[in-house]
Amino acid sequence: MPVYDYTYQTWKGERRGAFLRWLAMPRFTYMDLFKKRQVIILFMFCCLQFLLRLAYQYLRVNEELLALLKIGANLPDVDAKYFRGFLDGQLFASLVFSFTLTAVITDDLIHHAIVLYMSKPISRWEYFAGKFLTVFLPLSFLTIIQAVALYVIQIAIAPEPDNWHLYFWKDYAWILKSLILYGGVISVTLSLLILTASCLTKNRRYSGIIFLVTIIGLDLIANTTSEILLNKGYLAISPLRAVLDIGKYCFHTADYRLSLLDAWGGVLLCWEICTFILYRRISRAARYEH
Amino acid sequence: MLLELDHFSVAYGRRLALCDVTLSMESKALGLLGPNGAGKSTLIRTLLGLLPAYSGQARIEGLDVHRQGKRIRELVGYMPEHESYLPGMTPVRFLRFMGEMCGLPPGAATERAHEVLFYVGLGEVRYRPIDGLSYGMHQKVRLAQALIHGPRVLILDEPTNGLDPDARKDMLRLIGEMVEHSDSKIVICSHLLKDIETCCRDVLVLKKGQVVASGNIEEMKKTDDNVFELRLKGNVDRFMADLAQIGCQMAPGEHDSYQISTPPGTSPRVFFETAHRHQVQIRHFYARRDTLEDIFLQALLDEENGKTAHPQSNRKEPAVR
Repeated sequence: MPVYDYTYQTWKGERRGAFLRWLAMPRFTYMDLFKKRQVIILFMFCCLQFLLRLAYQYLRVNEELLALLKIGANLPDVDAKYFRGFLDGQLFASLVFSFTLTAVITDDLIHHAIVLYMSKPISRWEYFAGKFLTVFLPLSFLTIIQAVALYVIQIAIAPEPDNWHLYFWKDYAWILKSLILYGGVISVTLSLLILTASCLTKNRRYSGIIFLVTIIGLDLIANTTSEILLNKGYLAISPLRAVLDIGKYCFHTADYRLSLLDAWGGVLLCWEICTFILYRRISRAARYEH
Repeated sequence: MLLELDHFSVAYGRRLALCDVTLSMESKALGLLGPNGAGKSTLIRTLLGLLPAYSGQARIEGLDVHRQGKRIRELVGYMPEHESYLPGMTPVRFLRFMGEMCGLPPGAATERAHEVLFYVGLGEVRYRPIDGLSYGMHQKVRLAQALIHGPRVLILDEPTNGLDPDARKDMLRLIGEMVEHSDSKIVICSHLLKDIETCCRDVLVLKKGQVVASGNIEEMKKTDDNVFELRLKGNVDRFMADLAQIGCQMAPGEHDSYQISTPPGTSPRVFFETAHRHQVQIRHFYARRDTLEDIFLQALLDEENGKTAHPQSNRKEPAVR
């Protein structure tokens, strides 16, 4: 239809598949989000640990540079503990970056946009998936993608007689699986918590506060309950504690406080509660029951 | 068939918002009329799958509301009643986004967004932030997002609500043009009778979740054989007194006219004979036709008295045309 023709013309072209429709949601959100300079600076700041670790890995294998900088050759190994440390650090970087994403559903609630989404050919689950992906992708970039990148770079730059070549299949191959699992647990848990906080209020500021209060509050409740009742299992109430302990299990480090079952139980319960709240809130908003 | 309902009920908790409605309607432009709380918006939202049905079956353009919700939303464009938009976007980006959500490829969505905005008269403001637009412009953006994917059925929920007279006229002109020139069928939900009368060819009147009247507006506006509108000059008092003697009832009308209802079986000749007798001039004589307002009020009144206003309603066979 040409723009100079002002009579109504219907569009009769081909339509794209259902999967590509809701992918427009994260794309348009990022276009708006990364227009803001503060968000870009914060995102770069959250990538700082990755850059530092990258420099460390390079330095560790470069003996000439080590000698030039007069640093001793006995630097800590790049092993499972190293990668767990990276992901623990990125968990807190993700927490900080999460605050830029706490309004993804709040904005839709404030401006009744959920009704618009639901009047388009997407289901409630697809709306949920679109919003989830919007939050999950940057968080998984900060965790899974960066951790895997460090891992691949380490394989690439490890010198020939290094353990990474000698004992790769025995000591290092399994780390990749743990990186993806732990990074995934961090990203999914934070994404669901952000979306839940976002759907519980119609005020952008409150959504951030709710998110923070949920993380800190549940941790306080978990610690107090487990101390009063002398049962460490109650620590699983805190999603943060449960996620950190899953990380410890993933990388076979023995300083965990929760049993594997309790840690997974806590995380799965958190996911289930968040999904339940989200589905109810989205359904209510679609019915104009704010 | 545009709309088919079979013992269709919708409930909010324990309260039935639509109660056992059965009807079948085909129309190019259908108006949903009814007082507040009649169930108009509930019907629309249920047809779109925003609300679950309590019982019964519903079809829109032959598609089952329960099973083919997504397919229905591909064919239907919905303009919501309340202000709905995504903050921080310009109208053109907002429409492009909505187009992509409907399955349009990004290039086509962009092209179509510009065209639709020009069509609804927002071409000049398409790069201004949507948050800063006036209410009338917001209303047009909502209409534009409903048109972006070229829907086969366009559902407009209170399209002129809150608009000033000029904006309202403009909106009605747009809708009227779509009724005349597009292939799309249009369903307008409103409590403003004038809007329905201007844009629609058929009407469905709802009250307390039930259909109280339905049919073609022109066919429903039947001529009342016993009510006449007259403008007179001369000795009006004696003329009226004579008519009163044969059982006529008089009421003053607009612009110095009188509305006179005659007893059943009385010929209109009686007016001319009486006027001739008393040397009264009949300057205007008009057999009164029902307006949509009369149809609406009569339907509501009949429903209160326990009878359905029109035989078409609450029947399964096609009601209109």
